[in-house]
Amino acid sequence: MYIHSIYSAFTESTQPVEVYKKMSSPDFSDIFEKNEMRRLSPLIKNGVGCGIKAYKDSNFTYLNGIITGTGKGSISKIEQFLRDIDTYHESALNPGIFIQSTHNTINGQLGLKLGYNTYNMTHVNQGFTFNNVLMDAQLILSEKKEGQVLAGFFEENTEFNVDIHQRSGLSGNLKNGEYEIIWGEGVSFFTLSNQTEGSLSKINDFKSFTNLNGSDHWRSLNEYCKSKYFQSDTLFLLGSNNEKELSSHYGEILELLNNNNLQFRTFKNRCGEFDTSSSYALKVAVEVLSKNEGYSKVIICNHFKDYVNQFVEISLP
Amino acid sequence: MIIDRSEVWVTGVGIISSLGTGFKENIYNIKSGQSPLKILQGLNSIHDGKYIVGQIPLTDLELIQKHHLDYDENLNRTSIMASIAFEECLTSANAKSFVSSITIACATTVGGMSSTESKFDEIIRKEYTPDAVFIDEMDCGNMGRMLQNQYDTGGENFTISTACSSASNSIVLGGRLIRSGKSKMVIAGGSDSLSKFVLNGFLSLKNVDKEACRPFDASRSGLNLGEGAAFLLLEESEHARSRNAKPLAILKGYCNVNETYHMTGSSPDGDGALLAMKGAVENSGLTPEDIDFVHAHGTSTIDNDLAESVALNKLFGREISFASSKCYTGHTLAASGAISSVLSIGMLDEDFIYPALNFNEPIPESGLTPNINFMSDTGLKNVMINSFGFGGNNTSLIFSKAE
Repeated sequence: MYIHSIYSAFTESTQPVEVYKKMSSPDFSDIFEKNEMRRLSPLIKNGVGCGIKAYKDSNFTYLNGIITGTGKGSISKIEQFLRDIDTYHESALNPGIFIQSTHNTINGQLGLKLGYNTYNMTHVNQGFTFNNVLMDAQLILSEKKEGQVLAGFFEENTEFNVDIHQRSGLSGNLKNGEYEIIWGEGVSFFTLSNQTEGSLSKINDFKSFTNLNGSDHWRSLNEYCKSKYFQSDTLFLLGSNNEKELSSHYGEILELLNNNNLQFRTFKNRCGEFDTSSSYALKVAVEVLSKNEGYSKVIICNHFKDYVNQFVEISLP
Repeated sequence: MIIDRSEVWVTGVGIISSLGTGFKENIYNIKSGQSPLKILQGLNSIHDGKYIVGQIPLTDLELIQKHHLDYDENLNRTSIMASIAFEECLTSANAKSFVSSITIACATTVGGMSSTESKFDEIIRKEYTPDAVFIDEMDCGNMGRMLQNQYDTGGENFTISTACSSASNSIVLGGRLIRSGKSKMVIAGGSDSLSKFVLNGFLSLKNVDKEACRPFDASRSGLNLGEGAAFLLLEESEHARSRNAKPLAILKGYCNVNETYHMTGSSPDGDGALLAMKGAVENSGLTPEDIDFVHAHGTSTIDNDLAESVALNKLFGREISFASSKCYTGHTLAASGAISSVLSIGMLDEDFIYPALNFNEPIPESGLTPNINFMSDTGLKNVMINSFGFGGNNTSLIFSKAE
């Protein structure tokens, strides 16, 4: 599966943040009407905007599928509608907020604005989402001889979401000597096909591991990595927020890298933690490969919460 | 499209809806021609007692106890209903010893919203501290992960959320996974519970009827919401044969399109609905003449029923038997495509057509009259199921009688 173009909105700063790492706001005034610019949430603007720009930046002339994925969807609009239900006692509610809270709004808008009435799918599956979208895209490419797919990921965060994660203890607890998770958000879209011509990179392999039958998903990922041979021009991108997370989760992989003299970078210290953070790493991987930094292959290893790991292998086309 | 001699069989089903619990009870009750829709109760909403809905008349705790589910105070209603339907589906397919081959394709629009909204105010006022389980339960993906963990299914795990076409799309995904050879067994379906969030959302869109809904009637003025869950075990035919499983029906074809007309409305010329229906017919290798009955989306909203009936005229150009079961179940959103599918499989199996309720006068633009009498022994072979959602997401499925 080849990547032909990317358009994204992430924060890539390692500077400390107040609540969470906020995605960037590219200028999409050429895509939206003025009233849409005012009415639509940043997530929906970024989702639709990045999708359209990624398509326009590609050499594609048609699409066989528009597939998106999100762990949580438009949570700012979901929260807003929940608050409004309380505040206005279930009356005189704004339908625009309800519509924007619907998970497939970005997909619907993309179909509408790009004018493709093709297969249109939204996966909403926590930490499994990234893998689900790639699998669905790959299915289309296996069904259509010269298939072309627009695939994207969108995630937003809110103070409420960070607050409940912190209060529940899910963000770690510095007092107990554990690491603290910095939360994030972001949007990215990729055009995918089976054609190498005009492509930026190739996705050779993607896999996810979860904790089934009492299995250890970390062990599965570690063993999968050990079963592969990596040349010295392979760069690893590891999904870690900070040193403590790195050493407590990626110990075996670091050892493997050390033994084989392989380089790595961490990426969640840049984009923050969210359900589809592997999409940020995929963008970085394509950039690294395109920039002639001397790497011909990039491996992404990531985890989300305590139940899923991802492995992605990307190379020059 | 990859052409394969193998077929996608349905070897098990499970369902819970306002029509009842389990396949038998749902089929028995839809044959009766009596609507189980009732006045909304117990949603802790100012709309309680005011709107007609398809509600399952048991509390969360009563459902948990009746079905001996592992009690967890965080188990939300969407997951509870999903567990009940999933268990029936696996059991009826005699597939419990094959869970390592099973992929799950779930569908939901708001996941655990009924739990989230009941605590939201307390969380904001910091009177309630959610734990990790509660937070995960808020996500759409939690239901599938719970089922995967509960049954140790070894395949992939998907969750689709495309509004009212969600479950039909999980069935499309299941069919594609099997036809491509990536999976041998996929349990596909969906679940959605009634919530204040969704009721108020549809009220804000002004397409909820206080009275019983009247699909395809000239006087229709909105939908009745419902709740429920349904799952189908889709299985590659050779795999099913090898374990002596019999088909209840065959998933013959499917099509998902985006009608690219409007975010919340259907194109009045029916072209969006027509695209999905035509696509499913082509995908099935059948012709429109082969379709014996259309299990319509028929939400009873002004827009949908107009577009859908115009599209029926365009596709068939002849008298076609059709009806919507929303007057029995309410609109169960993400579950509706799976509920309609399971009901259709019962119709194929027992060769009957249920009567449409509350119909008096055809829509002037299309002039179509749904099937209003209970019919049996009509030789039902191929049934089309429509599900049309927000964002112009339209899906049609075709199930055929197992020979």
